[in-house]
Amino acid sequence: MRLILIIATIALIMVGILSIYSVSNPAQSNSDEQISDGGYWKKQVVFAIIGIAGFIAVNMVSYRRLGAVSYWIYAVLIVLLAVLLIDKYINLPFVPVINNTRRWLRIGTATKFIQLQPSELCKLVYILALAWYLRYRSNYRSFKSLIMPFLLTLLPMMLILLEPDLGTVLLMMPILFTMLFVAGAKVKHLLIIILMAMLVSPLLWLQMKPYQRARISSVLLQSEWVRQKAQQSPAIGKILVGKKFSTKQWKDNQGYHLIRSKFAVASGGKTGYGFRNGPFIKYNFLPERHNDFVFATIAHQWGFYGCAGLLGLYAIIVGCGLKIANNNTDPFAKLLAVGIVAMFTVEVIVNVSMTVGLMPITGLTLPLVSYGGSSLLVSLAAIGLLNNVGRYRPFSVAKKV
Amino acid sequence: MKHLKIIIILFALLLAALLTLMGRCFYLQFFKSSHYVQICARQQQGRIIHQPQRGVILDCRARVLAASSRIQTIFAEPRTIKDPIEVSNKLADIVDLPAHKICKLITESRNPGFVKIKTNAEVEQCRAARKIYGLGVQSGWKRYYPMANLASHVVGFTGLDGDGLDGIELQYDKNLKGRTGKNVFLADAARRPISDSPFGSNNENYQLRDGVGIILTLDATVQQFARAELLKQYQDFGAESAIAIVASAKTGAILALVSLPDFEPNKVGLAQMDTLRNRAISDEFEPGSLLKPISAAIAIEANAVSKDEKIFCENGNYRGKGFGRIGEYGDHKFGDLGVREILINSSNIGMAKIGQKLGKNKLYNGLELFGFGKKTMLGLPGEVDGKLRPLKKWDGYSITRVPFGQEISVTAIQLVKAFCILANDGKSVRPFLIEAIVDNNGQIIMQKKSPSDVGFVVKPEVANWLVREAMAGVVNEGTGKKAQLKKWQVFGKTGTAQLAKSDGTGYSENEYVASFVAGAPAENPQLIVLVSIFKPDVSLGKGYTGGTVAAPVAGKILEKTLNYLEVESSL
Repeated sequence: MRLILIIATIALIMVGILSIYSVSNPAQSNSDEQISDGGYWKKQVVFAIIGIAGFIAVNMVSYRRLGAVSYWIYAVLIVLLAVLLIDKYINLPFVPVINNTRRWLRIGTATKFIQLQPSELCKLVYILALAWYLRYRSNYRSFKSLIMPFLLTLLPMMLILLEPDLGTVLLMMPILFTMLFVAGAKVKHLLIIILMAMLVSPLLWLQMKPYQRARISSVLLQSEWVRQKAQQSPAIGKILVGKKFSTKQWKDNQGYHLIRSKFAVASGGKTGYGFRNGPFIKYNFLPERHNDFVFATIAHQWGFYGCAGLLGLYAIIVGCGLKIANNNTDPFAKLLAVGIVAMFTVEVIVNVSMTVGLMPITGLTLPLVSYGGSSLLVSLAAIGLLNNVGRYRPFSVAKKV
Repeated sequence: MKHLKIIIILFALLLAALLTLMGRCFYLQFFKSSHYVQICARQQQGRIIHQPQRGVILDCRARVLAASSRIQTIFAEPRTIKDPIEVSNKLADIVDLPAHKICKLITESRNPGFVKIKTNAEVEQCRAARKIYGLGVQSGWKRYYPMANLASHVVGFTGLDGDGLDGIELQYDKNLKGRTGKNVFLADAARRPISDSPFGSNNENYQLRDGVGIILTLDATVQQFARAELLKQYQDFGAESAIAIVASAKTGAILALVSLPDFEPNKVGLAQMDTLRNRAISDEFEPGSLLKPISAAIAIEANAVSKDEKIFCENGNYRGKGFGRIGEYGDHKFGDLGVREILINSSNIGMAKIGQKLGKNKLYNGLELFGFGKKTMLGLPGEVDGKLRPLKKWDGYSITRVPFGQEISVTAIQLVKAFCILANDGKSVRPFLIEAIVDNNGQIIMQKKSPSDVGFVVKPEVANWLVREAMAGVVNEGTGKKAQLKKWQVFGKTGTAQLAKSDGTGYSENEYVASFVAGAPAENPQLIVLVSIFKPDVSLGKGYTGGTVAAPVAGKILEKTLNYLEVESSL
């Protein structure tokens, strides 16, 4: 079981490196063509090696020991996240502002440094802490007792939201619900909470800034019919994007990525243009194609079969993870595994959905495949934890015959 | 067991989500693939358009009537200019414009991306202006008409976008325009070309092809003779409008075509709508006595009358059942007249009687053969048919009125055609304007072929008799004396038609069309000239008849043109 898990993981990392390589060095490219991201794939290889080290590291100790210190690690992470926010008021030299966000911690000198993304680490630590908390049945059976898990979730969520990093925030709620569901919280309670959230959501919508609204409405605005209506009626436009809607503006801004990535996916067709081939590979029509939109480049090069294969690999990981969860009778282990599987799946769903135009564009990466050190390290550590959980054979309790 | 169930439910849910994504990919990649590829190809396409040079329009001696030249326009992109004052100062030194005006243009431009600063800039100016950030140079074509008003109605004019809107410019727009060169390529986000399109195979590249040149039969010199003489008379007599046409008698080639008032094609935007109309082809009027020689020719051809037959002209008062009363111009009281005398004295009663002898069928068919009631297909837009009423609508009035040019309306060009036929020994003639079409390498694409003998409208002896005897008589002894020339025997016919009132209640008292159609030399006609002057101001007291108003103009145009063409003296 664990072997299959590891093979699938390595396969995904290879796919990732190949994709990043392909957009860095497309076939028939001349040196004078505008490739500025030539070094990404090499860096990704290094990240993979570091990630594998992380994988090994989390397997050095038993997951149970990690559980025992999980609250402490959680506290440290909260402090790190808070430090990022302090930069808003006092300029800290080790907090770079990139794209108007404060997500990274910089370690090293001004020229040579590594960047860490605490919010990425936070996902895993949060799962660890939550699983540790939910290992007692009394901690979630009553409606009141659900307050604590929600607090555990909301604290990092708020801090990350202020960075801002919407993608990671969106990830945490589904993880919480999945873990509560598997732990055995009453479905009735969960449904009540979801219902409450749905009732509040219109208020939240009105609180959002126009650009945030526009991003989310973009999913609807893909349809020409909706665009027409929005342009004709100022009221609809106001609700959707907070101001007068203009198709041209939308296409240039919020819609740009969406349209392009859909083009890249669709133009791949059945079998794709082939490795290192195709216009979206050769020319930079799709920004962030090595990163958040790596799925588009895979779809473009390998077509539907490539997409199906990739999603199949994730399905294998999901299957293995859940099998491991089921095999271990320790509630903490079980919840840990389920949390990790939930994290992976939600990331994949959100990332692929935004690439094919089913969900708004958020900064969530495709785990194990997208370019990015922190992301790859955390993903591999998460797989490492799954492996760790899987190593402990369940107590074989003979069934009563 | 409960846990297993929950895990299975969870697995099923997650798997379903992944399968949904797969389904979406399947939908996009199988059903929507080509759709998106197409859109994408279009979006990533860059285009460079090369505007072709519009073809020239030349007269028959290759003098330029219309041509296009390249002009450079210096423009500014206001949004990129941080310091308009500095840019204006720099540019003011280069082009001959005050700095404050340039500055105003830049700062007050409504379009943040483009404002024209100087059109028709010189090469040196453009080179210098290009170096200033925020300025650019655009090159385009400008149509110009070096002869200005001279042939405005024939040549026509183009619109702001370079499309022909009237005259030859419109009629031959396609040929003159050429083909826009189009270069399609794959562009990056900044519209820089990166390669030829790798998406679709639809190759939309077009080679640039300049427009072809058109050579007209028009002769700018003859046109100048005609316009100058006509304009003088038109002004002297305070007329509303005037037409002069000069045609080569044997072929129908139009040497000059003037319609007054005319317009300045280089500033067509300022022209009055009324001046744009080419009256020679699009205004129809009752020809009056001008039609008499044609009617007579038809009657003689049909043997309804003979040349020498005497016709009693009722002493100036002819009335009868079914056709009312017909009088003579100037209340002349003619007795017995031959056909020649009827034409020389322009007797209405004589023509009415000839019409009655001829019968309406033969008259109608004859007029149709001479080309009345349908367009001459000269090759200019806006030509009208004129009105030759269908036979079944003819009554007793018609058969007595049509022979002297009432109850029928014609265009000037139709009259020219009809008299060319008489001058061409009765053989059919079709007026035309295009001598040849020539491409940019000087290769002739199309050349006017001399028309095959399409047949005789009237017999040569009938035609020649009318030209040499009857119509020469009109000039020598009748109403057209003012068109006499020393060196050549002129033939012609006057016409003074009353204009119908606009409300349709008969004829206006003092609104006339004074016309004269003439040709020379009578022995071997070379030219046909038609002059029609509409509504000469009667109150000036200078006269209003074809003989006094139009004949002298026709005579002078004939004289100058015959001299210019070095036609041998025949007298």
